[in-house]
Amino acid sequence: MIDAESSLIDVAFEACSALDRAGIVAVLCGGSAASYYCAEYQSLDADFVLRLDTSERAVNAALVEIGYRRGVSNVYSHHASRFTIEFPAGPLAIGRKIVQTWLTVNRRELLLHVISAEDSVCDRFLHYWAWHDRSARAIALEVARVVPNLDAGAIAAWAAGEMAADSSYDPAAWVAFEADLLEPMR
Amino acid sequence: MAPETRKPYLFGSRTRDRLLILLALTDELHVRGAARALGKGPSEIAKAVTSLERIGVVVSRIVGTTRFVSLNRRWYAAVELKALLERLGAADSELSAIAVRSRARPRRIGKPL
Repeated sequence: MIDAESSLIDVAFEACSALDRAGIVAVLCGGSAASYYCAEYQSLDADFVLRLDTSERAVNAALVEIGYRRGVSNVYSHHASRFTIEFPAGPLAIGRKIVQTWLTVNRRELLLHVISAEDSVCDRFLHYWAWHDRSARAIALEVARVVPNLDAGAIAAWAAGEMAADSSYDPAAWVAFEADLLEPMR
Repeated sequence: MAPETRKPYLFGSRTRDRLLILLALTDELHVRGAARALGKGPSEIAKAVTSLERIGVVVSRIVGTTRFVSLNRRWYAAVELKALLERLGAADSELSAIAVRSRARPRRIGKPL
């Protein structure tokens, strides 16, 4: 049950489970996925990406069961919680890379689908790369620091793919980020 | 007008089509500037921006009371969309001319126009 004491991740578990009971797969992404890996960073909304053919009515009905109602700008809010739920447009992708696998975590009778730690690092770094959001870069590095055995090679392969497709991404920004990323792993 | 005689548009309406092409040619516009450039009301442009934002192809940011809009670089088909829009823009001399006039450059305060 969601109350004023519920954390963002508590809300994410409840929402993902309610959607799952309605047959809807929703994957936590964006800043809220970074919050899952790195408790020090607290986003104020849970961002879930749905399959493109998901019915809005079914989502509304599932979230009403846990006390969330749709308000303006398609933001779902709860009378007792400061955390909102949003559904950014799909497909589930980090830049050009379509995300086809994610983690499913169980907590008692609840579950949460969340993008992998590697995808979360890529996602936050892309926020910085595309829009120069320095806090997103710091969060990417923090996720990388706290998650053991991160696959840095997968992150580098993703970055190479983005640079190959879009020459406007600054390679120097990636090189500097990769150096910071690898530093704690040395 | 009967539905079968309406002209179809790639992105659902003429305003959305022209706004997207203009964004591809200019990188970033503010809503009032886009409205002026396209000869539309700011509310019509704001509505188009909101709908394009919902499907993820554009993003906007607020500076003071001004809403700036650009194509969403993070969208998974952003490169292909921009290429398509630039190609459509190249075939539209009116929009190309508007884009040239809309380009924002730094301008010293007080410099005569």
